[in-house]
Amino acid sequence: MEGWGSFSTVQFVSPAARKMLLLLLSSRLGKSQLSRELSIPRSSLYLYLEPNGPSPPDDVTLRALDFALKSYPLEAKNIIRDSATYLVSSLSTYRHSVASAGLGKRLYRVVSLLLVLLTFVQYIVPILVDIAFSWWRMLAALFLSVVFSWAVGIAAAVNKTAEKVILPVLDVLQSVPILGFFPVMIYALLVVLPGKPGIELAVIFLIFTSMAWNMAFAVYEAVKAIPKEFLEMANDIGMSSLSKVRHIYIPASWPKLAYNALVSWDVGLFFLVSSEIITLGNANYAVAHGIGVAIATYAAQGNYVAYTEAVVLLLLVLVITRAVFLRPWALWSEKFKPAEEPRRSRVDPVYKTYALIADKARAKVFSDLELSVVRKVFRPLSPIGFWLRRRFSGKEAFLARFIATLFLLLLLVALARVLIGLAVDWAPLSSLSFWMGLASTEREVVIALAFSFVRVWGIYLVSLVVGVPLAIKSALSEKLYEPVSTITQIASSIPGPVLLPAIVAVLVSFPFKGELVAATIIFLGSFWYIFFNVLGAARTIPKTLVEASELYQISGWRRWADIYIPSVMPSIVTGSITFIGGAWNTLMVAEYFSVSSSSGSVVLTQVRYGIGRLLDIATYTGNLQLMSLSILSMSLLIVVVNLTFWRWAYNYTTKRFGYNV
Amino acid sequence: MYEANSGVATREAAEENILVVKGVSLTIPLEKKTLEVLKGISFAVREGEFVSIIGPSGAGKSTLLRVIAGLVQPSSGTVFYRGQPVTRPSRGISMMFQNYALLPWKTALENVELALYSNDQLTPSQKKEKALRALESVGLAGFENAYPGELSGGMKQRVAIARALVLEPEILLMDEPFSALDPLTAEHLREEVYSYIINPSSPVKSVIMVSHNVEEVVELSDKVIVLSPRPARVIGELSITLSRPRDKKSFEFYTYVDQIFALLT
Repeated sequence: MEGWGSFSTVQFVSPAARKMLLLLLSSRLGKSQLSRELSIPRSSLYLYLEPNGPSPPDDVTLRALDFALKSYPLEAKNIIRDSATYLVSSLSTYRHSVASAGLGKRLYRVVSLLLVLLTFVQYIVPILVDIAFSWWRMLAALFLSVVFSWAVGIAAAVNKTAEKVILPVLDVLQSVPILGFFPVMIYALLVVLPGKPGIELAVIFLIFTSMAWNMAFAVYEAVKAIPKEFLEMANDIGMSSLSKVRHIYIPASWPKLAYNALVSWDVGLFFLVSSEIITLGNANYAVAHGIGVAIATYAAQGNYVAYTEAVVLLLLVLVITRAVFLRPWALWSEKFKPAEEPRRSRVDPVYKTYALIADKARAKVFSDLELSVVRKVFRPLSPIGFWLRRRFSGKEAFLARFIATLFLLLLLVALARVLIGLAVDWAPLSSLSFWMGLASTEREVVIALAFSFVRVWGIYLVSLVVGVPLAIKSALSEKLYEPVSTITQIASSIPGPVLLPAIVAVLVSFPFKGELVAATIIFLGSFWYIFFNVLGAARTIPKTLVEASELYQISGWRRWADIYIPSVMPSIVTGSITFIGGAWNTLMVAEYFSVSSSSGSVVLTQVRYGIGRLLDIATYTGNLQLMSLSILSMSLLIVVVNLTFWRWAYNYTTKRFGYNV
Repeated sequence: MYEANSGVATREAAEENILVVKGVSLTIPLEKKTLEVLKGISFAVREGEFVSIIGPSGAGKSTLLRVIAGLVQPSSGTVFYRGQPVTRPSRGISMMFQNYALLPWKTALENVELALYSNDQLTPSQKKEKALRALESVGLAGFENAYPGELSGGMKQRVAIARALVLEPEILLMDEPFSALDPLTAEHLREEVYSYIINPSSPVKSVIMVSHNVEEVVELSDKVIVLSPRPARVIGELSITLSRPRDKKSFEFYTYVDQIFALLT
């Protein structure tokens, strides 16, 4: 390539790209091997790698770059991207020659403008391609979720037996931290479907799991709410089951389904970016294209022009998607609402989404099933027995419980087998060292879990202290409310992990960098749940209460302590439950962030202890035991805290506070 | 002659204006135009008078009450309380809100105490004592630890009365005090409420009530101010000189009711 001849010096390569090149060359080959392969003296290699090398590079450098280009096209592409930066820097040389040649300044301006433009424009197409890949995943997952919701939601609503199986299962599924299960999913799918299609499917499936449950609940609720007369009429005129689905169930489900799709889109976007970034940690799993990939790689190269463009373009596409697809869908769906229900076409559906998330939070924590599991956990270990027991009574119940317990035990044994290692024989079970190993892994997991717990709750407390007053203040002030809610809605639509590279770059020289990055990501990913919940609730504080406090001249902290805070208390709790749930999900991207290439991976940030970090490492190293223990321990902790603390807090606050007296 | 028999007038013979509303207008700037809510409203309330403000819904009755309370500043015009312009809430004027504005997370007693929070001259135990007495005076002794959610509509109303009275106001403003109750209960309670507020031991000298129920207004008031639809102007002022307790079936009673209906329509 002729152009590479002008690579006269390494200084045009940005620092991060230089680091990449260094790693690329040294880690893959080893310095000595590299010198051997290229038949160049070691000293000159160092010369090249040293940014402020004493002499301009020569033949040797060019050969090294050439070699890199041929051997590692992906990285080479990145270097080519940097060449635009080079062009700009070479402009000064050009300028001198232009000046000396006596050519006009005008030509110089045109050329320089073109070059600057080129710097910006060159990334747009690749970024749009990346976004297209991501959007394909999102839409595929959304489509799957809609189909799944209809199938499962309608079945649960019209069939009593199906209802008793489906509802508890959905309940459990929506309360586990899904992102933690991503590694297992990758493994499982790679066994069935090796290579890129498997990973693609894993990502789509992950997004699906973040979207589907609340949508299925929405369909179930909507179909359940169909007036009885409709169905009687349908039976009367002899409608077949299929045409009932087509003409009654599906139309009736549209409004709730569309509104929930809005929530699902937000949540799914978070999982999309997270999963794409997670796959980057190991070259074997990495997806080739996607906005998460683009963002992480540009950032790793230190190419902040491209990174910023990627974030801006993502935001743009996001806004367009909402404007031309999600919002019109939600508004269109309103026409399927029963006439007596007030239509709220004037309310921006996007605004309603966080309230919906809060609704889900309640279902998440207080499912009958979970309660019964805890109550029965030391007696017959049987969640399945629970619904069987509801169905049958007396001797039948006993039999059902017996069968269910047996079934569950079998399931546990099967799970244990996976835990111990796929396709491993039972031999290690009898050896002491195996159990010792398991115990020491669990010890590691518990320590990590403790650190993550403190991290999540610390950020949670900070968010409370910041978010609650801010939300109440803006809700009560007519001047503040409009601008604040607009700005925060836009800000909240950016999936937090997208900002990860920027945060890393900003915090790179701070002490406790890993902790700060983790804290910021957790905060960005979860803060909005508290903020919007409280904002919504504070808007409904009766005006007379505020007036009463003015009339009685109650001011300052008393007004907050006696009126504002208690008014929004139930929303603080639902917001908190969703916050904590969201925060556990962010850990996998917050606590550990690495970018891999075929030459190995670079850890850009990490905390010392943390369950997210452990899960990431387990994923990248293929440590199944660590993976399963981490997931199980984390899920257990979350469920226990939900059932004890949050259940109490929810019951207490909804009874004492708010306006539902 | 009738006036001499009315409960308030017998107690307070002095015919002094305790409150004067003078040319009060209120316009609210909206995005494109301005909304005229009140337009040049003037009337006076004498000591010992029970005045009602009646008008079509949405006319701005409640807003007018808030201007009198000092919660809302008029665009022009002034409200004088004992000769002093009202610019912010003062202790002499208390208000009972529509739906009562009771805090569901506070007991009846705490809700009454709320009104005394800003009073620095009283110790906490004095505040509690006062609040208890206020609850007793409305017949709620024994219910001080009940939460609003556990009380009936009529009892909630009485808690609200106690809270308004505990400040020992000279003027009590009532914003549709009976609209949160079912019509039957409201019918029964009017006399009772009147007796809680207007009696020899009550500090209240005058009452201003906002309502859209004509019979209620005739039953309780000494004077009725009739407002026009928005922007609200005073389109009629009417003295009611029936003896109390008033006979709702009497011919005179219905003459007044008809008179007000005629003004409203």
